[in-house]
Order: sequence, then structure tokens, then C-alpha cells
Amino acid sequence: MKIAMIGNPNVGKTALLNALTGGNFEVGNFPGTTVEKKEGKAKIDGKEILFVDLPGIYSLEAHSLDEKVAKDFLTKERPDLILNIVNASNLERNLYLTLQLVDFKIPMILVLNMIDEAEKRGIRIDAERLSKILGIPVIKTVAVKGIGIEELKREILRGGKVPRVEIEGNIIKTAEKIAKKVVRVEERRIDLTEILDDVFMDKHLGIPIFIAFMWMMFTFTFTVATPLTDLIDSAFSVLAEYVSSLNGIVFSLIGDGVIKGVGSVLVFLPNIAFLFVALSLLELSGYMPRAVYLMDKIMTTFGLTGRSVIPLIMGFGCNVPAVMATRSIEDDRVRIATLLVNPFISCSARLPIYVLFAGLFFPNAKTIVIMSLYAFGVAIALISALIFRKVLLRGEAEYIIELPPYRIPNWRDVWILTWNRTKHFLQKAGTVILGMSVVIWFLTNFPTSNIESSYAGTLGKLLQPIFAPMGWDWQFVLAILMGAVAKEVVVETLSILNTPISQIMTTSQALAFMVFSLLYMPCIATLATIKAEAGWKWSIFAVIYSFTVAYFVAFVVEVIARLI
Amino acid sequence: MSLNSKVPLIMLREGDEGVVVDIIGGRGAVSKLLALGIVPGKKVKVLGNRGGAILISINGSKFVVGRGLAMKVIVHAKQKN
Amino acid sequence: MNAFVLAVISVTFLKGFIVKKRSYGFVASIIAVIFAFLMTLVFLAVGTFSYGIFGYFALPAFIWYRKRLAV
Repeated sequence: MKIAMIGNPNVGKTALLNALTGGNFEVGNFPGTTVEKKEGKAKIDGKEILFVDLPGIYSLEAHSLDEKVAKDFLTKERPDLILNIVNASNLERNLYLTLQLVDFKIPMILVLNMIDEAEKRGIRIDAERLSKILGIPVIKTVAVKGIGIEELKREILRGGKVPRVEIEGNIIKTAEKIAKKVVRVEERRIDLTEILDDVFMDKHLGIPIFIAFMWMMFTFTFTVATPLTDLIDSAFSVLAEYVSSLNGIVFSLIGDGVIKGVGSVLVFLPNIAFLFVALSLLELSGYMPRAVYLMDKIMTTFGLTGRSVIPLIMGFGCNVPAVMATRSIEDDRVRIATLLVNPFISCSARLPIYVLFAGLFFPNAKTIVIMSLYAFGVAIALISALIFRKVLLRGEAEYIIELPPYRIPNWRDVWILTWNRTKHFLQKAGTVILGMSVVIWFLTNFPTSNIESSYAGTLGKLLQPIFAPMGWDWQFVLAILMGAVAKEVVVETLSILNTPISQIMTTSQALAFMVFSLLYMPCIATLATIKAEAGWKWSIFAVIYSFTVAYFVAFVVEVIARLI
Repeated sequence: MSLNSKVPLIMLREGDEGVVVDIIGGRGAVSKLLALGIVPGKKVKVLGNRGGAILISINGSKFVVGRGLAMKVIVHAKQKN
Repeated sequence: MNAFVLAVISVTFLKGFIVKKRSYGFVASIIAVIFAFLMTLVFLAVGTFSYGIFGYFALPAFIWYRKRLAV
């Protein structure tokens, strides 16, 4: 038996899937798209049942990718039963989708989820009457608490009913009429959401509170995760050293190539996982759409919308999940612009470069130099966004988002969201990094294992003239080349080469080098993600654009710094 | 603003109320708004309008509407007393 | 930046007193407690101390406001 779960966003579909399958479900994508697909199996009374959770949508008119995917699924895969999940607090609007589902002539069950929240708000629904009007079973549930699930399971075994509804005039009017018949609203007191919105969206305090939350998110992501990062770092270096100390080329490949390379990515795993925990909390609590509203005015100045804020901020952690997060932006042009400028936001992997160079050349103004680099990255990102929107991706952005009521996130949901995203990151970044570490290992170990006379060294010397205007030696060129895989490799390469940095580089050259490292190109993992989210064309564009900008800006910085 | 004027939603100020009378624009914009319950005849209240997106309350739900889209919703502004 | 968070919390409390709305004190106490928890985690992870830890003192305020606001 195949069951499709369909409903508006924010109706608790994932929680219901979780309750029905006991957490036994997988997250993937619908074939050929980036639309998330959740699928889970359960046995009810010995009967094998497959649940497919379709993306949260408001209608089936196939204007957005999500709507198209859902519609295609219903017409092509013909599920045996539709579970239409409805937010009990908002019946009228949810019924709009329900009435569109009638046309498919597939047996249905209506699930009135989050009934507790509705009742708290003084909304009473006559389920029996609703069931009679629609001609299908109606079940009240509170999925997160497991209320009503047994009853729902029994109803699923009965197979639902094909809905018969008389549409009077149009669907909207019909939904309104039905809602009027079955919903009774009692005088409600001021609820939590009103109280919180009062302050979180305060004219003067809204933005400072948002900044405070962002800072807390970063502290959590980077500081609190430190012990885990250190642990993974030392474990991998011990392991790599041990394996590569064994004799033989295979051990060298595994130790210096694979383990070191994979380790360099896994070091970021705790940071990324912690970042995802914080983001899940912000998302599940309902705060995120408020931030969109608060930041919209500032972002519109640069041709973006409030929607772009979260992906840009995530970029400070790692550009890979940040690019993935742009999915939530409905407007395609804004989405592409946000995604393209994201690599200019200085991710955590670039910090070691600044620490090294700023420490050597600006020992007294280290923090200021590093902070300025971060600010500079943001400025370049926003200016680029404005240019893209004025030249390449023109057109007014139209968007509307519902503000869900605030909720206390439950730990299971946070865990599910975090785990799935982290897994996704590991798969994406992991495979690329694994491949590239082998390539780098080969380039640096052949024809001789002396890096200067290896292929890599030769390549660095060959390309050095391109960077002659900035006056960098071949070691730095090689470091940049290697850093294309992952920015932290820049520092690693310089240390492998035993580069006497402060002797062969001037202060102005160092400044230009830091700026160049900040801007020059998205790392391979980010590039792979850009390709997956926007296609080949844009990922190639991203490389060319960022390289051009980096080259030009670094040159200007070098010249100006030298004159001063 | 004259009495009983029909204006784009974006013209309303914080605290103003109105009734949706029309939605102008492409099919995409119209059907998106309809699906969210923003249809002619509904009462709408502006909770925030600070130069960026506009914050509204309609049907007991709150929405953030981008300025572009808010231009397309025509409302009958209620005069405040 | 930690000082910034503390300032935001204080200003939010202050605004609550000025405009005489309990919602501000309620939210300020929530942020204070979250921040205190975070600073405790930071202390455990890397040993850095912040005055934010004293945010736990806002807990009674949180309970008081919660009762008054009846949420």
C-alpha cells in the first residue's frame, strides 16, 4: 500500500511521518530535482505500508517546482491513499488544497493536525460535520505528542474514501463556506505569538536582537564545538602519520593522500553539525521568517530580499550548506544571485590563512586586519549581488511567507533535521574531497616526492608569471592552486614547502594575498554544490567572475598598500 | 488619501486596515495569493510597514509580503477615526 | 560581542519598563537564560568565562512574567 502525505507548509507533516513510521524514514530528492522527498515504511497490523511525504505546498497549480513535483506524483504514481494533513488553526486556507485534491479521485483521509494549538487559540472544529461535507474520514491528531495516531492507523487500514464535494461557485468560496459551517472561534486571549512578536519585531530592538541571536549561533558553532574539532584533528593526524610511516607507496597514498585529505574536511564536521543544530532551532521555533521581515529593507538595497539573509550568514560557517540553504528562496533570480555571491562571505576555512599572514605582518593589528577582511568579503558580496540583479538577473522579486506561531522545538525534530543535513553535506563534500586528495597526493609525490620538483611544483612555477603583478613567489601560487580544493590547504601547502614567508614577501604583497585568498574562487565542495543547485553554466560563471574580481582587487590592494 | 480610496496594499501605514478588492498581475502572483487565502473580500490589517517587506494579518494568519507583491494587492482602505 | 548581547538584554528590559509592557521583560528574560546556557557551554568547552552566565538570575523573572502574561 502506497500512501501520499500532502499538505501546506508548517502543518507538522514530518512529525506525523515520524509518528507513523516510528522514525524509520529516509530523506532524498525527487528524481532529477532538488526537491526534498521523505519516504518511510511501517507495518500496521502486519500490512506493509509505504509513506511518501510530498513537499509542503499551498496549491496544485504547478507554478512552483514543489507544486509540480507533488502533482506529478499524484497523477503518475497514483498512490492508494492520500493523507491530507491540515493545520487545524487555519482550516479555511488549508481546505483550498483539499478541494483541489478532490479532482484526483483518490481515496483520502483528512488529518486535522496540531489540534491542541488550535484549541489553545479558541478554535473549535466540528470534525464529524466536516467529514460528512467532504465525504471522507476526518481524524484529529497532535503528531508531536502521538495523540490520535492509533486512530489514524486504524482509519488507514480501512483505506479512506473517495471524496465527494459539491463545489459551489469556485473553490475559494466553497472553502470559505465549509469553514464557516464547521469552525467556531471562541473569544481568545492574547497568545504567546503576539507577545513574542511584539518584541522580536520591535521597531528599534528587532534588529539588535537578531544580531544577538546570530552572534550566539556563531559562538555555539565555533567555540562550543572546539573540543570535538580538536579531537578529530589530532586523531586524524596521528592516524595519517602512522600509516604513511609504513613503507610502500600504497601506505603513502592512504596516509598522506586519503586520510589527510578526508581528515581536513572532517575537522569541520563538528562546526557544521553545530551550525545545523542552531539553524534547526531557529527554524523550528518559527523565528526565521521574522528575521526575513526585519532584514528585508537592508537587503532590498542590494537587489536581494530578506530571504537571502540566512544563507549569507550561514556562509560565515561554510559555504556548502549556505548554498544549499538558498533553496528556500522562491524567486529564481534572487536565489541565483544569493547563491553566486555566497562564496565571497568568508567561511571558517579561510580563517587560518588570515591568522598566519596577519600574525606575521601585522602583529599589532591582527584582529583589526582579520575583521576588515570579513567586512570586505561582505561588501564585495553585496556589491556583486547588486550588479548581478541590475545586469544579469533583472526583475522584481515577489514573495510572501507565512509567519507560523512560535513553538518550542522538540529535540527529535532538531535531531532529524540536523542529522539529515549533516549527512547530505558529508556525502557531497566527502566524495569530492576524497577524489581531490588523491589527485593532490599524486601531483605532489610524482615524479619525485620532493614537492619543489614534483608536478605540483612545476605547475606552480609555470603559473607564477600570471601573478607576477602582485609579486608573489611560486610557493604562494602553488598554495593558491592547491587551496582551490579547500581553502585550509593554502596554509598546509605553505607549511609543507617550509616557505620562509616573511623573508620573501612584502607587507603589501601579504595584504594582497589575503584579499586574493578571500575572493579567488569557491572551493571544490562549494562549486559542486553550486552546480547541483544552479547548473554547470552558473558554476563556471562563479569561477570566472570570482577569479577576475579577486585578481583585479588584489592587484589594486597591492599597489595602494605599496604607495602607503 | 481620499475617503473610500482604493490603493495598493503597500500604501497602507502601520496599524491601518482595509479590505482586499482586487489582485492585479500575472497568473502566478494571483494564484499564489489566492492559495494563501488572500482573496477579494477579506479584511487585512497592516502590522508593519517600515520600507522593506510589509507585515500583514489576514484570516488570523500573519504574512510577510515583499514590496513587489504588495503592490499588486489592491485594497479598500478604511478610514481611521 | 558578548557585551553587545548583554546590552541588548538590558535595553529590552529597560524598554519594557518605559513603555510599561510586560512582553519586553518576558522576552528579555528568555534571551538572558538562553545566553546563560550558551555561556555555560562555552565555559565547559574552552574554559572562557563570561558574565553572561549570570543570566540564570533572570529565571525567576521569566517565571514571574509567564504567570502574569498567562501563556
